[in-house]
Amino acid sequence: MCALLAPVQEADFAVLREALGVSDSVLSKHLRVLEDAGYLALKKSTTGSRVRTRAALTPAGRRAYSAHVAELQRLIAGDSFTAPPSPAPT
Amino acid sequence: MASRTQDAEAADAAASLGLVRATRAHLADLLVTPWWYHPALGSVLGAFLLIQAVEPRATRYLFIVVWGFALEAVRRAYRRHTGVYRSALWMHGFPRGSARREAIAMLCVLCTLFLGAAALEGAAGRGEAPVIAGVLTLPCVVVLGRRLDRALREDLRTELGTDPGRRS
Repeated sequence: MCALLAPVQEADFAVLREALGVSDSVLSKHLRVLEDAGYLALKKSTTGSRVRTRAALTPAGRRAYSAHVAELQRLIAGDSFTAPPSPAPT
Repeated sequence: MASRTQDAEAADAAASLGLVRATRAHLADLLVTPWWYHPALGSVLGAFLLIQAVEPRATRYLFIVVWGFALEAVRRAYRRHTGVYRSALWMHGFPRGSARREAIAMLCVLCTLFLGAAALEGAAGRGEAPVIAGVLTLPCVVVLGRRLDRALREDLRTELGTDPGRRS
């Protein structure tokens, strides 16, 4: 999810659901976890009778994601750890 | 034993990075800009310069308000079409790669047009400068915007979007 959100400012709930291939409830649960951790901001808007939800990574979320990817690359390269790995947003 | 653990961790990490790459490639497919977006954006941005020639000033301000709504309408239409949003001026989303250079080039060209027009009109009294700059804005945005899009999609497919040497 973070890999999808990192290169953009925000993405629609429907785009995330289709890209990740999960149900609404599974996606909502994961979004809530990331939001509670301070990594994600959710914005809701109403268009007619439809409520649209958009997700955006917070600055903390972007830092955590970047650190996570950097650690993955160091693991592959065989470098020793210099810091504990960040909580792994997926 | 330690080596086997490291190998397992490296294999897991490689699998995770494979997912990241696949996700970014999918996003590259999503971020195909609709054909009308750059001409619409270029027209709206160019219109801002053309508006500067409107008199009296109260009417010009009214046009600027309408212009603001037009710009927001273009932005929203793009987001409705793709489901994602990123501004060409959002430098945070360009950590490395050719997309960053294209975004900076586009920003420099637009700043040159806008500021140059303002300077020529104000200092040299060249009232036609904003009109000429406004007309030039459309092809600049179309050409540079499409170059930026191609570079962004290429970066999404080939880069991971982070600096591997950076520590958090």
